[in-house]
Amino acid sequence: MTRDADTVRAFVDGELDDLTAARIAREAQGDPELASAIAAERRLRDTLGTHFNRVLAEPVPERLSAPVEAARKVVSLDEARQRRFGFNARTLRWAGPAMAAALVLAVAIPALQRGGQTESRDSLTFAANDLAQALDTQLVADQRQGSETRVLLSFADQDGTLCRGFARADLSGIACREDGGWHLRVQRDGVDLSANDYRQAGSVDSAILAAAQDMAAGPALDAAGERAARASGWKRR
Amino acid sequence: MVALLPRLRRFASGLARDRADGDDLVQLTVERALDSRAQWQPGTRLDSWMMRIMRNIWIDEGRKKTRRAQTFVAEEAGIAVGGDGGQEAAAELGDVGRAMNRLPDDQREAVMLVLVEGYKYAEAAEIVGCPVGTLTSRLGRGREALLHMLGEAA
Repeated sequence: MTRDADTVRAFVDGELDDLTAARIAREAQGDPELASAIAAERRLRDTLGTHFNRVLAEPVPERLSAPVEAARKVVSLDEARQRRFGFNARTLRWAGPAMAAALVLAVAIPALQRGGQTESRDSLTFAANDLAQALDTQLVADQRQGSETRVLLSFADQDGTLCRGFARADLSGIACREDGGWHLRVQRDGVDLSANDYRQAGSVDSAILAAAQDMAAGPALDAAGERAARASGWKRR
Repeated sequence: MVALLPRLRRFASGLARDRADGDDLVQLTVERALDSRAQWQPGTRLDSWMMRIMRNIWIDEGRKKTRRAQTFVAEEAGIAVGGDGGQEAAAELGDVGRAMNRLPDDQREAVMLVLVEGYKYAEAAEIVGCPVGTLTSRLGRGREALLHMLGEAA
């Protein structure tokens, strides 16, 4: 019944309503063919993500960022002028819709994200709540059984930004400490941390370690390095 | 906008068939966006707006670029290797890159927007400027072709 490819794809893309999505998830449990179609689509998403996300970790060439930085200076001059003279008509005209849109975003986005462990700002995904706290405080060395987030490693990228690979039941990935918080540069599926599913955990771990290897400028931080990094608030080195 | 640059580079690296062309595309997009920033409506998504600018430039420039790429592809790839700080363009492209490059432009664009950039169907259709049904059918054909080429058709 649910064999048609468009529905399977829409399911994987999160485009179905909750009811239909739940029905398909149920059907997939008793239908190996459907389950494998879903798995193939998910793998394709992952494969594409791994391939194209490497760009995100690279430093942006100056010829691309320089014009934006230059324009930003001009804009902030305008803003300074505006602060002196109060709001102009343009600001007022847009303020209402902009605030309404911001409110819609604020309400809509947490619901879309997985379990509230991430939030979207400027269309980038940042760690939130428990995940953000774990990344701030938890060290690889003093990991306890039963904690919800497992930190796999910490390292510095080519810019000296500190990044941490992690795994949770709802998602795993690599987050890097930027001005706005822990920016998720790599996002992957969750891992069942409670069950003894070493195979599944192992494949996600190794995917993250491989991604980390591509991003890292040197070896992973040792225990002392991690403690020092935490003490400095994970500031860029 | 600075925060968007890595994502713009990612999208461009999927649209253009090599990284050097991709960064040229980002540069043109940034220039066009800065020139016409008065047209951006605060409260709407800056990223969608810039992706739309990018794909429009890409469509405009497409024919020219493809012709140039066919003539100079070897030479440019050589330059890109040095420019990328030693990364090997050929290895970097890999199976996924080659498979993507074989997709027709409209399918590649749909795949990038939904599967890589994570847009909803409706958002991606708006960026492309086509009906949602058209977008999903391009997306479907693109995926089928990719699964086939990457050997996961079974």
